[in-house]
Amino acid sequence: MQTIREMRQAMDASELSARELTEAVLKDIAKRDGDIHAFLSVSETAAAEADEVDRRRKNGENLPALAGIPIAIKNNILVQGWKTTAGSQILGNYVAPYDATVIFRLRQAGAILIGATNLDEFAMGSSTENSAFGPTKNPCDPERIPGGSSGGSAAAVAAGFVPAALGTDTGGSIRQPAAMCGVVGLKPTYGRVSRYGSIAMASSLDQIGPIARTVEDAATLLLAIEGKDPKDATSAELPDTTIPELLSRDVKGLRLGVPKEYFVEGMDSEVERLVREAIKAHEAAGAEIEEISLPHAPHALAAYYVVMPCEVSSNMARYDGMRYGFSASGESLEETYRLSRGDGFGAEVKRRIMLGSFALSKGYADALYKKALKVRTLIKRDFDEAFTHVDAIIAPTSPSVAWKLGEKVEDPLTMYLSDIYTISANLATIPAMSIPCGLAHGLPVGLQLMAKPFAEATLFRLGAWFEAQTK
Amino acid sequence: MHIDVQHLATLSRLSVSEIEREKYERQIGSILEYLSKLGEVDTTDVPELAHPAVLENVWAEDEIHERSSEQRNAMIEAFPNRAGDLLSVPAVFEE
Repeated sequence: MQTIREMRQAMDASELSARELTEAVLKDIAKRDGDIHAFLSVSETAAAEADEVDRRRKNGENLPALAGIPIAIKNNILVQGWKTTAGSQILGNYVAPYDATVIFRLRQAGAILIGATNLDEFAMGSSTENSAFGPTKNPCDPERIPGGSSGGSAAAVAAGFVPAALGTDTGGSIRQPAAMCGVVGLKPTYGRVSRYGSIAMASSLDQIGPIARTVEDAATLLLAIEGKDPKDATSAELPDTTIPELLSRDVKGLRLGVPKEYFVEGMDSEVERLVREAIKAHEAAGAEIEEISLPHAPHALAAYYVVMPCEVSSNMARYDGMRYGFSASGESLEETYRLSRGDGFGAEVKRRIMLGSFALSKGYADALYKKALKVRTLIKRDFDEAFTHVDAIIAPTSPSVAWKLGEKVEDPLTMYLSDIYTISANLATIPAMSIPCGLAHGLPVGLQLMAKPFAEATLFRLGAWFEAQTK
Repeated sequence: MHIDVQHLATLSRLSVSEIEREKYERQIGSILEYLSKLGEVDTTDVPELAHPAVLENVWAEDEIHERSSEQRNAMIEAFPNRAGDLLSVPAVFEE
């Protein structure tokens, strides 16, 4: 029993109680997660929450969509009473005083929040090796990275601990680990899911989204958390949607764009072969395939690695040892700031803060930050133009499969280059999904689908169809 | 590209050790070299994408919302230094 649908059916048919399911999940984590390290902590109240669901079911209550379903939460999303560390020593003992809106909504939907998953520190990384609490291993091969920054969430789902998890995606941090671990991951349109209570990395790029084993479960989780939130001024009003219409599974007549700039040298030839085969399969089923150009794609990574560190340098300013988190006293106020942050933050966080400070500083802000914002406009225009004649864009999620632990830690730039296909969707604010499309060298490969803003329905329609072909 | 890591660290309110300084100088230097390719793009008359949100002027009602005492206490518990329920911080202005 691996999916939300299966678990829900079993509980509705009284084959299994929520309590039994939760206990089995916790036992499984205790037994097997030592080798994977997907979780940083498990909930102490999960069993009691499950009892409550069982009680309500016994009372004959109509139960909400996720009642009794165990969900894992990336540890940069605030869950009241949980240590919410963001994978960092600077928040190593920080207990969240309130629930993020998505957590509130999951609780309304009856979900059992099983535990907090590992991540790259402050979501900065592509391998989960930047966690201050040790890396997570890829369940498909424990010598390899699970991807990042939502590596813990992807691993928790891929290892079968939970059917679904929440991650966050600023430059690919849901999609890339989903691809590396062989599961489904969706970055919603910017504004679709409230960011209230998620620890901010880059505020114009961040989104919370679902990671699951099936497209249907990803949709179920998204529907539970999405929607306008008065506490997040950037969240948008959405139309009502239901699961059946999302999963219509018919691709006939859909126009799919294949961006020529995404099939470049340096891409693993096996990965390319699988992605091209997937494209052919869509064509055989009646989708229209069109080669498109996203002319500013070659500059997207540079634009991202300017805009994001600039926003990071601002968002990290709050970690100053004053009101919460790790604090190291110095002889002056300034020294207290420097020591608290210098000792509390890991290397990648410091690198990005300094990069951002540089790109925003006098003499460089025009050539870097403002320039990058203009290139961002051009990238968004490329996508807007493409979506006037295609319904979705189909591409690889990652240029390679999962690499070995330790392989890319010495050279940050090599690590950054692995994000090359995912960052554009964040810059352009569009929704994007990664869905498994086979194995290369024995390791999972992800197919990436992108659509215009708020067209997640197109992604679910395509994803559900493709998933059915590969069963 | 020569990077003054000490200057950046000061701007960023971060302490860096001597060993870290050398490492960051190398790494940040090579990253900045990569980022300079942005200069290749013609951005004449292109506006900055300052923010992606489609909304404008999202207002909140001028209402008082009480925070629960549970949340208030949790926040106070998190203070690194406190005097009763008050947050204690170093003075901003030095003599």
